Formats: sequence, structure tokens, C-alpha cells
Amino acid sequence: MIHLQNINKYIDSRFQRVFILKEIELTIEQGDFVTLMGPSGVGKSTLLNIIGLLDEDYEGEYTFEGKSIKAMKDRQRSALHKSEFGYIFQAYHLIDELTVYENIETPLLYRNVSSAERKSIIAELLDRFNMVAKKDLFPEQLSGGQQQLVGVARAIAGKPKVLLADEPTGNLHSAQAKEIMEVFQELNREGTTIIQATHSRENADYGHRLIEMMDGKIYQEVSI
Amino acid sequence: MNLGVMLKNYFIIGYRNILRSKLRTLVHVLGLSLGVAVCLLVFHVVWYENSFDKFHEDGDRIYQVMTHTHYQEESWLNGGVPFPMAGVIEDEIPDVETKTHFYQLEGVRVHLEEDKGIYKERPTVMTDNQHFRIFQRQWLAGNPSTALNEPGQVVLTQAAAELYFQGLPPPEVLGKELTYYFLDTVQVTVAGVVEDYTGNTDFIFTDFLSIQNARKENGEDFYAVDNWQSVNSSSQLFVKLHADTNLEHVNEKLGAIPDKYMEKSEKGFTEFSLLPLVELHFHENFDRPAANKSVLQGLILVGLFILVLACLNFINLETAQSFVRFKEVGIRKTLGGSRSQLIFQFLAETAIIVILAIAGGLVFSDLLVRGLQDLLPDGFVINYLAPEGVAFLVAMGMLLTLFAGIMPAIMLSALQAQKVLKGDFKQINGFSWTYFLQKNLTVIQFTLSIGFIISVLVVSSQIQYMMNKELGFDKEQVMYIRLPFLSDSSQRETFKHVISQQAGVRNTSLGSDILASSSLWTSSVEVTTPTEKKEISVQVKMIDSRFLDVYQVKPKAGRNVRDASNEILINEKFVERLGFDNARDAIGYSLDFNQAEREVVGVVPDFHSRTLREEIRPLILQPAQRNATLLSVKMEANTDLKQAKEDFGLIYQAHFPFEDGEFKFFDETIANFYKSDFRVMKVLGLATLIALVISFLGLFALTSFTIAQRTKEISIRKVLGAGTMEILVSLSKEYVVLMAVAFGLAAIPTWYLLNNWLKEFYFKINMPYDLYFLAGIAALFACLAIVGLHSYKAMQKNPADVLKSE
Repeated sequence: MIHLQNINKYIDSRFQRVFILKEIELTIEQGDFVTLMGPSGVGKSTLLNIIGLLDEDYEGEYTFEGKSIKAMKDRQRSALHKSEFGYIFQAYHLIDELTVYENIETPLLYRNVSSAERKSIIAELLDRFNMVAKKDLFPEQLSGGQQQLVGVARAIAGKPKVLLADEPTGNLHSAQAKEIMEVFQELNREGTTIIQATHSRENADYGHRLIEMMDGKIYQEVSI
Repeated sequence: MNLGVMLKNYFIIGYRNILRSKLRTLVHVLGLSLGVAVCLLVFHVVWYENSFDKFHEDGDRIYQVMTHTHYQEESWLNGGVPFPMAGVIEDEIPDVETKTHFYQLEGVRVHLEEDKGIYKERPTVMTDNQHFRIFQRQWLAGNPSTALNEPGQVVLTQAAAELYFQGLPPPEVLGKELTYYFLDTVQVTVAGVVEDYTGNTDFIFTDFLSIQNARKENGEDFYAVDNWQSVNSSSQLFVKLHADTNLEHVNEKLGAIPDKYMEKSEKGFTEFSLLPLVELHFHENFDRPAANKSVLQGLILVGLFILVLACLNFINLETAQSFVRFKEVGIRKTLGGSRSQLIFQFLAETAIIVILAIAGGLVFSDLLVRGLQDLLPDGFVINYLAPEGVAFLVAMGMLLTLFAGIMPAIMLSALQAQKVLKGDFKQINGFSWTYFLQKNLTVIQFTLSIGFIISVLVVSSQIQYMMNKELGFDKEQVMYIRLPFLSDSSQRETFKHVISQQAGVRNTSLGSDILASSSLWTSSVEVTTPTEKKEISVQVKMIDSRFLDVYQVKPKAGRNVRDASNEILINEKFVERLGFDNARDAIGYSLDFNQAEREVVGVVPDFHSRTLREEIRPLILQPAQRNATLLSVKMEANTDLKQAKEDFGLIYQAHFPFEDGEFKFFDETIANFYKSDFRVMKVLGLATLIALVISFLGLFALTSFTIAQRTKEISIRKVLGAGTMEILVSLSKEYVVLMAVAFGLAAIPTWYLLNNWLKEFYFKINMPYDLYFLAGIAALFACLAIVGLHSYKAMQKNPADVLKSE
């Protein structure tokens, strides 16, 4: 499904070239649950951004379902970005001015989903994450775990094939983290491909593949 | 498409943002609504002044014939033509399809039969029935082709018919009799009733007599029916040209008319020209002051400046605090929002603020209309629901949204999602637009504000100067009244005598004019100086022996004139033109003036007999009873002038029962000379106030953001041991530079404009450069006060708290 070939990303400073990612070779199949691990600054987020089409500034070949990303036109790329990827952030990144309901609705609006369909999707998600009563609250009125649940609901509202999660539990305590990871596991069972970046070995246990990174390179891969 | 929901979503966010940041909203809405109010008012004034006589059929083919008379160094443009011009214009210029000649009558009284009623000051003209072919009206009764052919006919508008014959339907008004009193007495029957115009028009006449009346025996002389040399502004000629007429040819033929019909003179010549109907409102006509195009242009400029100021404020503030929205932009991009969708969203938010501002603008403009009643044209009201007004508001709303909103929208939407979500805001494109804009927009804002302040200060000091200038006479406690032109001199003398007997009257004088007025009577006299013989143009006033006493003017040399003598007074300017060094030398000089040999018996000082816009001319004061229709009355100090005015008015009514005359105060008349300057000052003052409110509100909000952003820097400096003063200086430094640049940018164009304005005045102040610096320094202090306030607030924070939260 996702095939990365010799991906390099670097910054040229005056005297030397600093690599953020170097010679990344990675293939991810549909239905995989992949964990990227490694210390801060190792390039996990950058790799997620490249996979999620948020960062186009790199060298190398990236094919998604057999199609080369670099060869695509801007519009095709943004259509692909919209339809196939969902994002979850460490800091939740909900829109403060919107309610829970409206936050979940936003990606659907950008996807031109009809009103009736939107209502049923959101109702289903609120129900699934037990947040029906909280739908009119604003993010600041929720706990961190609840905010991240809204983040997850928002990310999967558009039914993406791939879910990208950057330190999804970094700001949560362990019970909340566990809840989120169980949701991930369930989504993965339903067929969603999940790629997460994390520091936590425990979180990795929920996935199938563990990729350890070091200094912008893939250091080793472990199957779980 | 989910455009509707999307829009709703945008509006919800916009609305919540508005509630969230009240200072921002207040500043935005207040600033923009002031701009909107000024623009709306200016739009309606300009629209109103341009709306006159737009409804006439083929209006683009209708022209007024104007007369341009040149005599020696002077020239006059007159809306009237010599009476006989009307008879020849069709023969001389075949391009004329129709012409109409009318003569505007003044002081017309209308009596109903059997003395049922008297109506004074009716707007009446004498004209021909072609009038209604050029200026078409609906005929409610009567025959358009025969009406006004006979001297004994009158055509009334519906309003006039309704006034004289309440409730009678137009066909029954036909044949009714009326008597018109003016110079003549004319008995007429109603030959037609026409509809009134509903649109704005300068053709306000309601009673149309036949121009044949001017051709009656004793009228021919008075109306100068055959005299090509006499140009009276009451005698007006309008023509309608054929379609596709070449105007150049018409002008050529017009140019040939004076040579053919008028006497040639070495001292002057006459030209005729055509004034398009659309320009009529912008020329003095029908006793109505001309609408002034340059005033309108000035207003448009002021309106634009204020609106631009308000927009800059908006842009400035939005970009300064755009960081608040960075995270949202990042999230929306990640969730699939495209750049154009984001731009649209931010524009929609701007639109909400603009809509609020327009609502506020309507309120402010209504307040402005009430407060500025005396500055606005007569009869001006704003009809907010008029289609042009609504269209203007909608167009302005859209333009404002675009102009104010596009810059912040483009900047925000350009952010890269993964960077802003990481918190990496710095160096977005290597070059910070935000910073660049902020500094430049602030400079432009202050340039405009300082420019306005300087203008107001300079204009008001010129007005101060004119108000306080020693005029050479005493304008206090003087009243005057214009007596009927056709009264005979014994009637006037009697009236003067009665007035002089009243309590509180110190002195009275009959003359042709008050000492200083806007009317000007000039003549030319031949004088012999030691070196040459020459004609000089002089100003003339007819006076009596009390004139100088009434106005407290003391002769510089010689003595006052005696009544009914061949003595005259001249002023020092005249003495100078005669080539005498000393006023005393001119005494005894005799010159040929007004058909007699006259002797100079006294020299008066150069008092200002005209406005201070004009230089002092050589002046002759001649005692005469003819034309002496103006009674000046000097009152004792401490008399109640208002009461006296009322009492004297009653006496006037008893002497001249059919006339409308009113006593006026001389000092008010003089102040009226500068009415238009007071207007300029008032408008400028208001514009300055609004500009300052907008700029300083903007600066207040802007510095509150920018300095709050520097709280961390301030705390670090404090921790490192910087004193209060050092921090204040470091924060204020850049504002001093900005203000200095703004001052430079403001001073130069303002100097240029003010210099041009001052050129209108012959007597004027020297350019007061100190006021420029005063304006600059005042603006600088106000700015520093605001910066200082916010800096002080930031400095009061405990560094430990600020730095811990990092």
C-alpha cells in the first residue's frame, strides 16, 4: 500500500548537510499496525508528515497504492490526502472555538459529505466513544483523555484508510492512554491501517510491527 | 456542495472569536463604522448634488447660454444674456432645435380676485411656451401650444394652483383670474396647469407669465429689450440643440454674434458660451449659490482617507495578532482544508465585522447628519432605503471585506501545517510580512493623522487671524436694512428719520451699501498723475455725511463730505495710485467722475471694504441720494439689539407694507464672509477627530498585543538588571522613529495643500511652521503615552511567573 524508497530529507547549513531522514526504505501493507519508536528528534514526526502528504520537501520515491506521489498534480495529491489519511496529535489540536460536535464535523465538511450522512456518522462516533452528552461542550471543558477521544473520532470520521498518530498518548496518563490504544486496536481490527510514533514500548505492543529509528535512519524492525 | 453549512461554520467561528476578544472587536467595529459613516455621508452628499435636473428628456442636448464679459483687467461670467440675444439665436445658429427665453422676476406678489388672499415672494418667471417643450411637464389642463402667447396668461404648477385655489381640480382652475404685482401690475387668467417636478431640480418656478409682458410700452426700457449692452442675470436663455450637433461649430457661430450685434469697445469684449444642463447646478444661478465641485472633491478625499485609515487599522491589528489563529490554520489544513477554503473562511469572518461596522456606520452617519445640518446642502436628507444608497452600502461592504480582509487571509492561509503545529512560527518566508506591514501601516496611519492635525491648526489660525484683524472700522452695534429699490428718496428719508428718533439709536446713514459687503460696484476714472495720464479701476460707494460716523471711520486727512455736494472721499490706496506720497497732498485734487467734476476733500484710511481674500482697491465715497437704498443704523452701546431689530422691523412693515425686508447685524454679515472657511474648518476638525480616534484606538490595541508578546523579553531584561527607564526607552525607541518618518511624510504634502489654500487670501498668516512641530510633538507624546502604558503593565508582571511558564 505505502512504499517508501530511499527517502532523504536534509537541511543544508553553511558548512554541512544535516540529515533529518536518511535512506528510508519502508513498505506498509493494508491492515498493518506499525509503531515508529525512538528518542526525540530522530525523525519519527517528519516521516509521519511525509507519509501523510503534509511535507513535500524530500528526496526519494513514495508510492501510494502503486501511484507515485511526486508524479501527482497538486489537486490529486490533496484529494488523496483528504480521502485516505486521518491524523491524531499529541496535543490533540482541537479547534478551541468549535464544540465537540463541530470539531468532528469539520473534516466531513471539507469532504463534501451530505448533511444527513454527516449527522449519522457523527451520531455513531459520539455513541461509540460515549460522548453523546458532551457534544455541545468546548474542548477546554474536557479532560485530556476526552479531548484525545474527540481527536480520534475526528480523525476517523472521514473513514480514512490510514490513521497517522504522532505521540497520541504523550499528554495522557496511563489509564487514558490504555483506552486510546484499545480504540486503535479495534480500529485496526476493522481494517484501518495505523502508523503511530511513540516513546512508549507499551503502546508498541498493541501493534504488529515495531520500527526503531536512530539518527534519521531505520535501525531495526521487530515483529510482534 | 456544503457551502451553506461551511458558511454557517465560518460564521459560528467568527462570532465566537468576536465574543472571545472584545477589545479587538470593539476597535475593529468602531474604527470601520466611523469610516463607513463618513463615506456614506459623503456618498449621499455627492449623489444629491449630482442629482439635479437629471430627468429632463434629451437633457444632454439642453444648454444654457452664458455671457462672459471682459472689461479692462476684470471679467465676469454671467448666467444671463442680453435680451435681444433670444431673438436672433435661432437665425444665427441653425443647430438650435428649440430655444426658450425667460426672465426671472423678484419680489412678486400675487393677489386673488376680490382680494381673497395675498401671496408674497412667489417664484415667478416670464417666459414663452417653448419653455415647456425643453423642460417638459405633464399638462393637467390648458393648451400647451397657445398658453403664454398673450401677455394676459399665466401657467401655474399644480402646487401653485393648489395654493391659490384650494381643492379646485385643474380644469376648473383654467380661466380664473389673478393679479401679479412686481415692477408692473399684470392681470392674468390661468391658461394652463402643469405638474410639479418630483425629482431634484433648480427650476423651482411655479408661476409662468408671458414674456410678452416685457414688450409692453414701459417695460421695453426696463427689461432692456433691445439693448445688446445690458447683461442681466435674470434674463436667461436655454437652447436645445439637434442630435449629433458639432459643438465646435456652434461655439464658432456663437463667437460671431458679439461682433455682429454689439458695439465694439477698446476696453472690453464679450463672449458667449454654452453650459451643459448637467453643469447648471455647479454654477451660481436662480439666486442659489453654486454647488462647489472642489468642495465635493475635498469631501470625497476626506472620506477616502478616513476609510483607508480604518482599513489599515484593521489589517494592521489582524496581522499583528494573527498568531492566535496559527494553530487553527494548521489543524484545518491537516483535516483537508484547502488554501482557498481558508481564505474564504477568514474573509467570511471579516465580513461579519464589516456587517457590524455598517450597522454602526448607519447610526454614526445619522448622528453626523444631525450634527452637521448647517454644513450640508439645503434640502439634503439621507434616504437610507434609496436604491443607490443600498447599492453603495452593499458595494462598500464587499470592497471593505476584500480590502481589509484579503491581506491577513492570504498571510494566514500560507502557513504550513506541520510547521505551525510544531510551534515553529518564525521565518515563514525568510522575510516577515507581518513585521513589514505593521511598521508601514502604522506609519501611514500616523501620516494621515498628523496631516489632519496640521491642516486643522493652520486653517483655524488663518480664520483666527481674519476674525481678529483690525478692519479699519467699528463693526459693533451696527444694524442695516435694504430698502425697496423702487421707493423714492423722500420715502427713504422719512423712514430714516423715524428710525433715528427711536431710543438707543446713535446715528443713521443712507448709502448704496454697507461699509463692507460682498457686493462690489466698480467704475473707472481717468486720473492725471505727475508722470502720466491713466484710467484706473476703482470701487465706488454712495454715502451721506453720516456714513463715516456710523462706522467710526476717521479721515486721515481733510474732512468729511457734505451732503448734496460735488465733494468726494478717497482712500489711501487711491492716493498712492495718484502718485502722492502724502495723504494731505491729495486734498483738493479734482477728477471727472460720474458725469461731474468732483473734488477730493478727505482721505480715509484703507479699511477692508471686502473680504480679506481680496486686496484693498482704490475707493471713492461719493455723497448721493440716488441709489441710496441701504439704511445703516449705529446703536448706543448696551442697547438690546435683538429687541431693537424687532421694533424696527414693525416700523418697516408700517412704511413698506408690501415688502419683505429685515434688519441685519453688520458684524454677523462680516462673519458670514468666512462662512465657507468655517465650514472647511468644521469638516476638517471632525475628520481629524475621527482620524485620531481610529488611529489611537488602533495603536492602543496594536501595542497591547505587540508588547504582550514581548513580556518574556521584558522579564529577561529585568532579571538581568535593567531599570524601568532603560526598558521603557528600549520599547519606545522604534515608535519615535516611526513617528518621525510619519511626520516627514505628512508635513510635505500638507504644506503644499495648505499653501494653495492660503493663496486664496490676499491677507494671510505666514505659514506657521511652529504649528507643524506642535502637531508632530503632540502626536508623538500621545503615542508614547500609549506605548508607555502597555510597557508599564508588562513590566509589572513578576519575572518569575513569566519565565516559569515557558
